[in-house]
Amino acid sequence: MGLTSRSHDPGGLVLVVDDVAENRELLRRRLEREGHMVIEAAGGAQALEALGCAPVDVILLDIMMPGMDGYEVLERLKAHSDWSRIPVIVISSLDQMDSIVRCVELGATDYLHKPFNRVLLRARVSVCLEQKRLRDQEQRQYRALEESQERLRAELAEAAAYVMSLLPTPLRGEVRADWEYIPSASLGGDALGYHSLDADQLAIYLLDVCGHGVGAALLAVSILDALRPGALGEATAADPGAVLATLNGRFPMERHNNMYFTAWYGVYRRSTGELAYANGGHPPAVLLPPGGAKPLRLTAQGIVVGAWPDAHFETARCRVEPGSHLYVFSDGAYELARADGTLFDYGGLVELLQIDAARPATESGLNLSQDIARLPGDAFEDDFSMLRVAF
Amino acid sequence: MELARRQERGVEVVVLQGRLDAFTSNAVEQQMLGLIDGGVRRMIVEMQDVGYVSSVGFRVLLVAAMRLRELGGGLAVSGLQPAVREAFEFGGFAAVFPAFATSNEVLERWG
Repeated sequence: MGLTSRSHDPGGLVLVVDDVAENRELLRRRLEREGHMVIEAAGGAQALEALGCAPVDVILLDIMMPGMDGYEVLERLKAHSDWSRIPVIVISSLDQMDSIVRCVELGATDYLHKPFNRVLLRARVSVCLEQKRLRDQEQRQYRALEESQERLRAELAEAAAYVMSLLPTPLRGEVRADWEYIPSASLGGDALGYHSLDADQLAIYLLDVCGHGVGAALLAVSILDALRPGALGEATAADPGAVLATLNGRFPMERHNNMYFTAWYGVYRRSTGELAYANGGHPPAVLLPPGGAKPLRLTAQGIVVGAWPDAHFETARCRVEPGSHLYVFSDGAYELARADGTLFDYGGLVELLQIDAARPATESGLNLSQDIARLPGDAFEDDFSMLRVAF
Repeated sequence: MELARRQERGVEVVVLQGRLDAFTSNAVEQQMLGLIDGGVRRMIVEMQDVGYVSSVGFRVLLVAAMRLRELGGGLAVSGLQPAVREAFEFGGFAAVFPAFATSNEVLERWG
């Protein structure tokens, strides 16, 4: 009988562990005839050494050995992160069923009786080899998946960092402005900003692109760019309704992967203390007059931006008294599920804003996310973005 | 989510349940657009059992409503839960599709 060549079943590397040289030799001849490669070990210690050097696919293990016996070898294998995946066939005498059962409990895949039946040997080694190959493939796929998930996380973090780099520095002086931006793990497409249009007028804006991921962030960056100083033209930039109408025409949903966005845009005129603002489907901004007076919701008629070509965006106006606080934020700041199943909502957030406004002004900026995070059971699922202007 | 549907006075009434978000909105959108392609012109979306609608969810309603308007018909939603109602109002969606407390109110209006 020469080598049985099975083109669909290439041989593997088999480790034969037996303290008796003749037994090892017998198995070696039979296995090599089947097309396998064989390494021998005379005992448990040698077997573990061999595993450290060679990519063994299947182990044939004698149970009864002096020194480290088969049970201990099995225990060591099971405890090892790589070796635990190698199938083990334990070899025993006919009257050792109890031992065999114990080996199976310790992780052995199968068993063989001495003297060896050639057909059974071939079959069981073959099955174990197949099992090893499947386990190896699974391992490779799992690693590849982990790597690609890690790459995705890193890419989202990079996109978030880039958006963050576009946000303005805190404003200090008669008018103070701070912001807080905490992108969610899935990056929600929020962006915000403020800048002077001229010596008298300050533009303030916050937007939220529909959906999540790098795509939403990319659109958010495009929109920020369309709002940058000088981009819109003097007349338009000072007219909130016109700004949103321009953005609505420039970013139609169907040309931006079906993403619309919400936006709040305001212009504060220092000389008159007037705030003009427009709202494209965004949660109303909140104006807190000084002295703890009732909060005002600043909203104007307007649908989400980029969705409807015929949309009209109203411009509303109000007077801002010195000592007032303006908060502009996205729905990620209040759409949180509480531990008890109820939602923390817009109204709940307004209460927290009143507490924040009553605090003395410090240099440390805005830290509302912490106030919210301290509420039991809340976790931010979406981007948290909040802008505060103190007049 | 699988859409439960019925016809009432020539209007297609679609019943949604659960969350309308990034995970569920694709399937809902396909079914709704399929109904429109199949000839539906007036649609009511019942949402008393919908606890949460994300921006992606509102987009589905918006796209369906705009397509129906283009075809001379329209879409309305009914039974919005308080948090969903608030999000609907913030979004200014009433300009494209109205919200009512019940489907019957819609049917009254549409005659």
